[in-house]
Amino acid sequence: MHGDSRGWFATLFVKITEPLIFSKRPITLTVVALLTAFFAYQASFLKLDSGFEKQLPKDHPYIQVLKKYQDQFGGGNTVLLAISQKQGQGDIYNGAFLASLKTATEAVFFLPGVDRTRISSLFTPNVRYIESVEGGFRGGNVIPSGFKPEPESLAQVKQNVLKAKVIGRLVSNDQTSAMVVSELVDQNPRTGEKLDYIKTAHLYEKVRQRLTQTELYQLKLKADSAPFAAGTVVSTAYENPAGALSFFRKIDATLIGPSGETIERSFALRDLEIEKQANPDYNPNVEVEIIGFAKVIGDVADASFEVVSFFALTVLLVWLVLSYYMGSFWVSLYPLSCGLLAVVWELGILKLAGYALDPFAILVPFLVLAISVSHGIQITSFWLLEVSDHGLNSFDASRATYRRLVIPGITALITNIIGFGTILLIPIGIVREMAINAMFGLLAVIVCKKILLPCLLSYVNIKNPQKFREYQQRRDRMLQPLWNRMSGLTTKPVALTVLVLTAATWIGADIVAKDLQIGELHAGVPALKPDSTYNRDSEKIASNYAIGVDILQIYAATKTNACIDYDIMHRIARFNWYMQNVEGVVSTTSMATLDKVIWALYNESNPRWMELPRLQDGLVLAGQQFTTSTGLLNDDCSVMPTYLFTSDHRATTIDKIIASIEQYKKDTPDDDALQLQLAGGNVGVMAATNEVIKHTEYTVLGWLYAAIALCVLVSFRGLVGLVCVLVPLAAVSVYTYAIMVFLGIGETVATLPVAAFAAGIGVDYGIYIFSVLEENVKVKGMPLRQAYADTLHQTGKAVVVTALALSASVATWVLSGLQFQIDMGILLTVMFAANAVAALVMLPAFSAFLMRQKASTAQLQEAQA
Amino acid sequence: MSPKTKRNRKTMSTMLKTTLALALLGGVAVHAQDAQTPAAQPKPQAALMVAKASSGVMFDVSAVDGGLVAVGGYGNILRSQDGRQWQQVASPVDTALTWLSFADAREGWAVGHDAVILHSRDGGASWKLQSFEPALNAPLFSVAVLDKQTVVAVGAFGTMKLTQDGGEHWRDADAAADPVRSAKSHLFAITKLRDQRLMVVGETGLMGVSADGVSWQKLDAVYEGSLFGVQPWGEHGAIVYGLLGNIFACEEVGKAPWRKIETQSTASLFGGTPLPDGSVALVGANGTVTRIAAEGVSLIAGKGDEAGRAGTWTGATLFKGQLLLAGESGLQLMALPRP
Repeated sequence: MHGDSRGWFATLFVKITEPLIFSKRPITLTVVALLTAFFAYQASFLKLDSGFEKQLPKDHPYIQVLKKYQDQFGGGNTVLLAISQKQGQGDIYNGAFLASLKTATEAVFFLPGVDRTRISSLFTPNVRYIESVEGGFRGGNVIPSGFKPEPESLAQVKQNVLKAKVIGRLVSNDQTSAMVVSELVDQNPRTGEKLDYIKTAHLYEKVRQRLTQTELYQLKLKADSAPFAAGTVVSTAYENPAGALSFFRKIDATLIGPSGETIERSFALRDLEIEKQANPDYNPNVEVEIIGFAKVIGDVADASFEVVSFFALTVLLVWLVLSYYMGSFWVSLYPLSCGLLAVVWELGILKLAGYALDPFAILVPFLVLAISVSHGIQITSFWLLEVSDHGLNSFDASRATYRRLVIPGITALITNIIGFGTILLIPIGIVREMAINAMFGLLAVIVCKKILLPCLLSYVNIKNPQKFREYQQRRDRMLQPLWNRMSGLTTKPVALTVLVLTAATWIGADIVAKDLQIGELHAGVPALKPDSTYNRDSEKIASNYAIGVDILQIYAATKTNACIDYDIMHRIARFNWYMQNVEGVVSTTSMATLDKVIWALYNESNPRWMELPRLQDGLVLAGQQFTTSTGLLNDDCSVMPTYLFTSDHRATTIDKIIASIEQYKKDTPDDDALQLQLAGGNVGVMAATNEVIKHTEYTVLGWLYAAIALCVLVSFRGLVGLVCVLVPLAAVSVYTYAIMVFLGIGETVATLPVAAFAAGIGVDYGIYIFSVLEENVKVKGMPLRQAYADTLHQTGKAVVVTALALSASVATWVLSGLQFQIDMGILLTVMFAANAVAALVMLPAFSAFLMRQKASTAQLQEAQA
Repeated sequence: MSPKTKRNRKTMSTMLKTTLALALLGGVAVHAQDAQTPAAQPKPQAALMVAKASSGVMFDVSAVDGGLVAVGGYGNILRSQDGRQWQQVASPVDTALTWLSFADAREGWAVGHDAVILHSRDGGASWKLQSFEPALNAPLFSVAVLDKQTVVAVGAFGTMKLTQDGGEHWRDADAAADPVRSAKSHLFAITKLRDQRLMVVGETGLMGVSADGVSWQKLDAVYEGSLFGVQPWGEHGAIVYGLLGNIFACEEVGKAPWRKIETQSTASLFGGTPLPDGSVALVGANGTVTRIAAEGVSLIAGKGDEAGRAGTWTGATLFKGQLLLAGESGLQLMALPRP
């Protein structure tokens, strides 16, 4: 298909479309311009979306269980804010620390979206110590009313903390850190609006800054803004809000009006005066850690949209590569700007199709730019050839380019689309969206590159074609010795060496790749870098408190009011204890096990009572301590999850735990009274995702290679082409697995599509090279070595430049704050480059044996005839 | 269903030579069986054999024949030779076992929730269920061996179970005539004093003594709160302890007066063990370990920052010059400082 534009359909297609596009170029350009404006307008409405929901493999039974129950359980929306004494600053029982804890508690209390009835810290009235005394209980606030930071009352607080049994929860194990635990309400009860997680995350961040920044900035009204007078402080910031684009910045403020009403208003920063002051809440001895789902969303969103700023850098890099190739900063702007237009179209179509831009989708524009640039290089180089070597003018060169390349180009893109299409086989929403998004992008590339670029090029006025041509020739001369040396690859001894080396490295890589892990390998939230603030905070809290961050939930589904049924509670507790003993499980909890603890508390804190009461009254008494917001039971107490806190979320750990659960379920089968259903929690999601990846990996790769093989077969109508193109591609895939093992990258939702993207795009190199090589050998009858040298002269530089441009466009992802973007960036960069090298080195080696053999067979047949 | 019943049905169906009848009869038979199995009396369920049993809650530990035996939550029974490595042994129940008493190197009893009484004849290697009465709704908290024939177990709501034939038969002693049990107060501990009398303590400062385990004499209360344990004190005396760190000692139970032993701690005390020098180690909430000697009181553990994490100790025994503690955080060896 690349080589052949002479089919009847192709001829017809060109015959119809060419005059359509070129005879009325102004109209073509106007239509494209109008469409671009339309898409740009659409794209401007594109919403940013955290897209966590879409990362779930929604058809997996675990996820269906999760979805079924997730609305019934609270506790998932907790934000933990820990204030810790810095190393060597002693414990929390000092005036300054407790003042900071009080400030933070109050600050969190007033955050919008926080459920004010469910905040707990040492300063909230719901945290009390209770002790059993003769004939009953005695209790009180941990921090007594009228507390003054004097040695006696500090000692009293310390005693109360012990009695309140909050160590591990609200106070760290070593008592150098204390926590403000808050829960978020999903919907604003006043406005009914859904909670803006990203904004909430920023507000928590501000609480951190309030304690750790030396200075604050008060924003005061410059002029009256009824009902507020000039000079009213509308907001306080702990980072200087003045910056490069501060003129346009808006400050959202929540103010109290004259009659006590809450007024939410947005002020332009330019209408506000910034006054710098010393921060009275600054405590030099503390640091603050914040973790929770909302914070993850905020941090991921912040990091993923940082990538947008790398886009400029990417464009610059690609422009430099193109300019070197074309010898003109000016001409290279044509393919580059067409690539950018394709991105605008892609985003516009995305919006029209009803999608939003999430951290995964944000990478697609980079890919679209890369692909469209790679095609732009082909078109422009052909056009350059027509202009410089054949001496055509811009317009005629453009038409010739269109005629020659529209069909192979479109078919190449269709190959890519099919390649991306195989990604749709991964049943995870966000990956499918990425595939669809990329396919939209390719459609945009077809129009922008195949129609617009030739059209635009026809207007190019090359002032000095002679100089232009000289630049091209000078560069070709420079490369010629390299091409000549490389053509040696077609000689049999060298080719044999290459093939042996290929086989050896393949086998080696395959052995290494056996260690490739499925799933996330690093501690912490996998989306974020291991050394990100969030993951460091999370590690610190997990090590100082009895709080786990890797959680697997198993739902005990039973009958209404099962929590007062001894048999069922006993069964759940037994399962709990079983899981407690499984390797990789650090601790477990469930209502059944906590009932025992509560029951003992009711009985004078005598641990010997720590067992489920047989009597229903006892279970009622123990169970009434738990509200649904604890996440331990649903409204009618028909579902009670068991929480397993796991040591980490490596696939091997998860597999072991899941296998143990399966074993337990085999020994103690579910019945009508009780079913143990998997799975919730981040580890539950990972278990499902890993399984999906394990199951779809080979399907995706199988279909991918089948699709590519079909396209190659159709193009070259022979097995030689298939081997020459496909084997280097497959070798690179295996090498990449080995590289993943070395770099500690697991096979995840993010890295699985990379293989498809890289192979789908990487196949182009082999196709360019083989089509020219085959033509040289078969049609022009050149000897193989000469044929390959000539091939390299024609396409080699395009291949190299394309590889550079592709790699450049994804390499910037390495700067991202998101781990999966970094992983994808590294892998795509490596694979784009490796595919080019493999095609340039392995393809001639294979053809040295296969092509000659074919020729000799032909000779043999001739002789026989 | 057993393979035998399956075979029987098959023979019947061949006799009838009707597949329909087979299906019908088969169905009926299965339904009849289904209807019988559930709704039966609760049956004891053997404890799970698990990898990390010693990490669970343990309530009591005894030094037996040079080694150790411990009991705890989920019906767990553990044995150890060194106090560090523990092996789980099979237990007929999976509900909490609260107390353990051995008559000698071989024979011993363990009690727990569901009025469970377990008996071992081989130093704790294997256990047989002698009592299981979930319908009683009363956990047993303590057991004491008077002699190899007479063993008394006590528990919630004045429950007292007695055997006089080494555990062949257990009976509930008549409560009405018994001054110790007539109020149905919880009985938290029973211990054999050095003069071979049994002493029991419980709710609302309840104290009683008995020479034979059958007839009991109620002592005047010296404290209105719960007493969780009693240890021998001298030749005829006892030391009782309980809620909020209250400790009382008496040189001759039934004759001499009780005196309160003052400590600085208000942590409730749940267990203890006599020490070779005549003093007593008491253990309890917030990791408290106290030594009570005639000459004074010394706190061994439960004061510092580790207190919040140790949880509550409920059992202790002397093992090779060290204390072996059992409690919420499992089992732990603790060096015993010189007095």
